[in-house]
Amino acid sequence: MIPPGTAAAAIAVVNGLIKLGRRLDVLLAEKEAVQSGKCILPMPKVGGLDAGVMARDLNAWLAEPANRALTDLPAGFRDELKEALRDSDPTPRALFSFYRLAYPERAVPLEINPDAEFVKNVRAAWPTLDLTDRDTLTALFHVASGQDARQITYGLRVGLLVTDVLAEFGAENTAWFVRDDEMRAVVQKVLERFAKPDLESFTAWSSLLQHALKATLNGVLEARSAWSADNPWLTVILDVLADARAQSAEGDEYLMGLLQGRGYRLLLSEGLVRAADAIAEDHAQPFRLVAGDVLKRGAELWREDKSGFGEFFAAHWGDLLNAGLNSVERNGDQILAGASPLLKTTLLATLDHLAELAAQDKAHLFAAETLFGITNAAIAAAAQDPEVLTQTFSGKPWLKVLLESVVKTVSEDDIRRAFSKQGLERIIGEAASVFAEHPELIIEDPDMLQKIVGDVLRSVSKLDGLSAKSIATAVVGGTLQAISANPGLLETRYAKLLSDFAGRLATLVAERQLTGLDASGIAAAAAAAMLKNPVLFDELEGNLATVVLDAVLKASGESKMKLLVGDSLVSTTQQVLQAIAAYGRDKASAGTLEQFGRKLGEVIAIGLARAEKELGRCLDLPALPTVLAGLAATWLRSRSDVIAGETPAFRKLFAKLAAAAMANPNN
Amino acid sequence: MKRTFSLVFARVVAVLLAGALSGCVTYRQVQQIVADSNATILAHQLGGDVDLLVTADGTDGKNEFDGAAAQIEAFIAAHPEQKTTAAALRIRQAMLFLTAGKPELARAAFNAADTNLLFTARDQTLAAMSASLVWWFSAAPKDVQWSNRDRDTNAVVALNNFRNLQTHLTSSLKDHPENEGIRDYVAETRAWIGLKKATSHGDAAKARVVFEDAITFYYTNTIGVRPVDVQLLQCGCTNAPSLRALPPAVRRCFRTKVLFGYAKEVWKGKADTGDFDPNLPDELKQMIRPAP
Repeated sequence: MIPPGTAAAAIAVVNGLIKLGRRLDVLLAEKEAVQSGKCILPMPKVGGLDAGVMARDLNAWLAEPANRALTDLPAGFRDELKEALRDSDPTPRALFSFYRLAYPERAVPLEINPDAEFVKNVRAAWPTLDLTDRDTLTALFHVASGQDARQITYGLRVGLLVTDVLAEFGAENTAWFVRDDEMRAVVQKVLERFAKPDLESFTAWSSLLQHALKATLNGVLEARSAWSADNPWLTVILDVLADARAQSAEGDEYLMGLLQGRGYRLLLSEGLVRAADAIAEDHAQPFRLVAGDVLKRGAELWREDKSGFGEFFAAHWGDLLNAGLNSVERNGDQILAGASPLLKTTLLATLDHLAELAAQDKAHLFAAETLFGITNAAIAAAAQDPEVLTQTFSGKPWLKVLLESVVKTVSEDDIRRAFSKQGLERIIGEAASVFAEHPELIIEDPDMLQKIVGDVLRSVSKLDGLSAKSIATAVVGGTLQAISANPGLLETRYAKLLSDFAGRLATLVAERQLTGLDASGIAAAAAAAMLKNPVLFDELEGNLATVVLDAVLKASGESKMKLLVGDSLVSTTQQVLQAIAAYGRDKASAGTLEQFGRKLGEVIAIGLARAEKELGRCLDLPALPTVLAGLAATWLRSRSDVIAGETPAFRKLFAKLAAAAMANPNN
Repeated sequence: MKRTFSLVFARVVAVLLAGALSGCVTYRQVQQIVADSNATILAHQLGGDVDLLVTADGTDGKNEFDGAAAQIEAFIAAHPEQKTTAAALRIRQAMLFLTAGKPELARAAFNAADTNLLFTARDQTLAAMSASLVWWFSAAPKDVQWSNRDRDTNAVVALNNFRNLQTHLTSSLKDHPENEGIRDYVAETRAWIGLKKATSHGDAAKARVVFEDAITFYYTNTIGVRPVDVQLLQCGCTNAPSLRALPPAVRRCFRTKVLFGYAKEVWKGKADTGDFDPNLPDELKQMIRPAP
């Protein structure tokens, strides 16, 4: 009989040996995976037509007189070709559509398969070689693992392994469990839809599942405090994703692209949270149908992907649905009702137009916030006037013009140079949100964004990013708010005047006569002041606001104590503009604006000179703008030159205005 | 009695040890994964030239990317503790997905590879190339659809990134000649990207700069540094038929002929803008000059 102690020892040794066997197996497996010389690294096929050759041929085609008489080409072919060739360095994509019509016989892309050609070379050199043999081919292609960065070789590790197994092992793993209720609910929802327990159909779902979980959990975590455990909108989105995966020919590849899009995270962290809070639950199913159609159409475009739209769609589908949710919150039944709801029609049309823009290499000009904003605005317009989706402007569909207005606005080189990507995105996004609130502005003119925002951005594009952004934000915001409150302003030069005013501010900032901060304050102030009497500013030839700004700055620059800086400068400009709005008609229209500006500057200069003496006696700095504006108002209302110098009457007037300003500091 | 027991015990231990060591199930699984993934890639790359994937049951497996990738996935799922093995297999899986034209899955596989557990020059280099590789495998076959972003951003990033990697690997060859294979892969990929980018410029001057950079850097950084390689190329790669371990220089010779063949085609479209940069090595000019 074997003594118990001996048996225990034997079992321990056997256990150790089994453990050794297992770990040796693991180690050898690792060596095979890490250091195997049998690793094939493929080289993709390379194809294409040479843009240089196409450009040369197309220029020759244009120069050939006989080609002028060709009638079987699309209308405008020559003009569009000339436009494309105006780009000094066009891409193949920009030229191919012309090339295949001008030279159909040459428009056959060359394709080369480096790996297959390599084998052909080998076969030609060694005809007796059996290139159907797997080992031979592997030997031809294999790439060695190269240097192993670890100091310790696998041979040595085997030795250490044996030693190690002789020692005792401690506990290895601790269980992992999601304790948080919301997280557990989300995990469960993802698992229900994406986990496939049967190994037969196991096509990479594990990494897919990890991505779904990671992307979804990250999105949820970002809005953790606002998330509820049972968000019906999350169910909708996950269902739509699962359907898209099942229905798309690309399956996992398509889904993986969707999950990795940045818009998905925003949709989860913002859109779904807001939807759960603000949208009636009975809208969820109709929205699901719309979202499903969007992803289905996206899958078709993804599959075609000839224009590079797939990548764009993957990044931004979340932004489109987010805009859709936002619109449901605002318009509800109005855009979800019916067999072909407005929301679906608008989103699908948007997708198709975006695909066209992608074909022209322009879709990338839409950033997340821009796309969200303009889609939101488009849906709002469609909700207000469904006919708009079938209307055309200059022969183009309304929606296309709307989207192109964004492209035109942000594609100018000067503008892209002046503004950071985020800055531009923010300005366009904010403008688009005004349109979403006031869709009537774009229903009548879908190019409104380009007309208002584009002009302002261009006028300040000489500045560095920060100053340009602050002035542009103030002017664009001021202009759009004013126009939306008073659409009649569209019939005036209000927007143009403000954009010119922004240009003047930009010049002054560039010349260091103003700081960017003061300039943005003055811009906002001017936008508000001009609203007090837009007719006056509109009817005068030239730009009255700019004249006033120059007059204030000139007087300030020539004063001894330079009292007008920062807030006092902004406030003085604003209050003087308001005074002119109220009393300036006669004086401003009496002569030229230049004469008016010169005299106004003198009035302010006299006021400043007096203020330098009175500061600390009957006046403080915050009251100064009111006093100066009071002087300007007095001059504007007077028939004679009451403010021509340090007369007793002027000193009396100044004291009176100062007393009033000090008595009412909020004025 | 004690001696009898010792003998029995020793035999039991020996049998169990042999059994334990002969099991090696995991090792065999990885061997199979390596073999199958290689065959899958080769079958796809070589198309009708080979028929590597006719399996034992007679089924044709040329479109078995999912199967090969799923093998890796199943292995990793079943062996969560084998993190180093998993990291290397993820890189292999990513290359499978790239070959299959599934860039998003490739990206996910690259991302899932724990870079702290990639130890060989090959795997570390592929991980460092991953973002550009994902782009390149999608962009390379596009016939005429290269966008400004492909040309002016993605290609430029890849060319810069691969130049640094290639330089680093070349400088490592003195101490680690085993890095030559992966160095060549980086060099060749960079050269193809450069040639493709050269064809995407409508501006002839820009195209020339890109073309000459692509070819010159490839040549001077790989072939030109070893006179024997120049000789190999010039005499037509007909020697060194030892195939069980094809020397990198011989493989490079055959592959360079393909690359330079394409370079000649590209140059045909640029030749009317003048001759090569005079600073290009004479041997190189000779090799890429199209036949009159």
